[in-house]
Parts: sequence; C-alpha cells; structure tokens
Amino acid sequence: MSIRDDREIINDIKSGSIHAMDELIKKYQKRVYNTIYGLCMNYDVAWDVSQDVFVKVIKNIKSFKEQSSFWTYLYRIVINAFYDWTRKEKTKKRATTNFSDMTTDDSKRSYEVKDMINIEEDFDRKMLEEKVKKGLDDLTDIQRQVYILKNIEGMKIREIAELLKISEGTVKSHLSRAMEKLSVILKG
Amino acid sequence: MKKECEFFRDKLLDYSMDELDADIVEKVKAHLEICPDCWKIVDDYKKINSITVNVLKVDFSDDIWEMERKEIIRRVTQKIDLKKEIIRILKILFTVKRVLTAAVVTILLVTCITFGGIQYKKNQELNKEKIIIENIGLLENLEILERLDFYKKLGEKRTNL
Repeated sequence: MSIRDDREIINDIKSGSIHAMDELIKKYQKRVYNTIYGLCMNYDVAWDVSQDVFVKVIKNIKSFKEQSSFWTYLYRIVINAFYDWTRKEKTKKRATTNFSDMTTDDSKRSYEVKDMINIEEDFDRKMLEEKVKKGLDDLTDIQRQVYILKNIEGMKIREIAELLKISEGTVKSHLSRAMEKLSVILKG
Repeated sequence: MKKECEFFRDKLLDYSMDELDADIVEKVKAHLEICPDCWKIVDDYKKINSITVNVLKVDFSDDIWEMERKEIIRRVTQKIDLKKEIIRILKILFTVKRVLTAAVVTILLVTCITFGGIQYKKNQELNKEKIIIENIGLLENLEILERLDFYKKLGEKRTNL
C-alpha cells in the first residue's frame, strides 16, 4: 500500500473514516512516543500522554487549517499536552520535581508499558540509562526539546528554529549547552 | 590551542550534527585528519549522541503499536458516540421544551380568558347592584316627597276649615 499524503488522510478523517485515523496514528505514533519519552524518560507517561495527544488531535482535526505541516501542528500539541500533564502532576505531587519519578494514573491501564519493551535490562544499560536520565534532567525544557528534535527526530537546525519560533543562533546555543552538560555527566 | 584549531572549534559540533555546508565539511575533514585534539572532540560528540539516541529511541513490537492505535481509536469513537448521544438528548429536550412551552402558553391563555370572563361578569353584577341601589334610593326619596306633599295638603285643609 502506498504512503498517502497527510492532507488526504486528514480529509478522510474529517469524513469519519476509522481506517484513516489508524493510518495517521501509525504514521506518527513512534515519533510522538519518542518525543514525549525523550522529555520525561518514563515509558508509562509517554504511553498515556501520546494517547491523549492523538485523541485530542483526531477530536479537533477540523481545526487543522493546513497552514503548516501536520508534524509542526502535531508537535505543538505534543509539547502542550506534555507540559499540561507535568503541571497537573506537579500540583498533585508538589514534592516531585523529577519527571522520571512521576507516574501516571495506572488505574486506567492494567499493564506496565516498560514490561512490553524489548530491551536487555543488563547492568551496563541500566547505568547508562540512569546517566542519560540525569543528564537530561539537568537540561532546561528548551535545551531538552532542541536536543531531542535534533538527535532523535533528526531535524535540521533551520527546521527546529522554525518549529520552535526561535532563531537558528538560539537553537545552536541550546544545542551546544545541552551537549556540554551531557558530556560532563556521561564522562563523569 | 593551535591557531588553526581556533577556526575549527566552533564548527565541530555542527560538523558532528551534519549541519555544515559541503565546502566547509571538506575543510573540517582535512583538519581532523591532522589534529588529534579536534578529532577527539568530534568523537566525544558522536559518542554522546550515539549513547543518548540509543537510550532515548524506544521501539516496541508491531503488535504493541497496534494495541496503542486500537486503544486511541476506541477512546476517539467513544467520545464521538458520547457527543452524538448528547446531541440526541439535547434534541429531545428541545422538542420536549417546545411542547412544554406550548402547553404552558395555552394553559396561561385559558386561565387568563377564564379569569377575565369571571371578573367581567362580577363587574357587570356589581354595576347592576349599584343601579338597583341608586333606584331604590330614588324611590325612597319619591316616597318621602309624596308624604311631605300629603302632609302639606293636610295642613292646608285644616287651615281652611
């Protein structure tokens, strides 16, 4: 089956096609999940927030006016949903400041997302993961976003600047600071 | 730091992230071949990126992703169904409201007309009573006048006798 253009898929969703909904989610679910996971480093949170994002996007698909690319539109919703969630969580658990310590409402989900992942939970990987978590926790929100967009999404600096509505120089400066911080932690 | 390195240092991060123009890339490559310090910096950048990307890129098996899609679609359709149900109930309520409004207006009209009629009849009866009372008063006055006239005539007759 050929990969269809976002616009065609969205028009079908507007007409109520469930198949088109599945197609759109399939196209973006990994990117959305990984972006949120990069921001919080918590499998369960990334799972629940990414579901909320798609439910919100499909419910309000008529508000997408095709003035920007669908990914730009989706990314903004991802970021808003994530920070909405962190605000709610911080209000619920005022003492918690570390994203990776936060959990979601498990009553809605009867399984642990991390149990479904194909990773070897060896000691070295655990240690490395802890170090990366610590490194990412030390970054500011914008540094983390820029770093993930560049290294996980593989976006160009120009595209990141456009997406986040900041200058290319600012993107470079955030990347450079993020790299410095990560370098200190990972080498330490 | 060597003078040549100073020129390249601020380009090394861009180089490791594949953000330089082709002509500068060639110059950086040539410099890295002869400068172990700059090569080490680039190597560190690449290692850090490789480690973080390896940790941050999560992938599940296809059936897990499919499970997520099914869950999202279930939630979306549930919301759509709920919306449709709310609209249906609202429509019924509006219809009921319309019927109720018409009924209330009819009852009010009938009540107004009935009370208006009763009041009108009462007013008419009151007016009749008033007229009767007035007439009775007139009759009483006439009787008094007739009596006065009788006594006057009687008085005149006595005087003549």
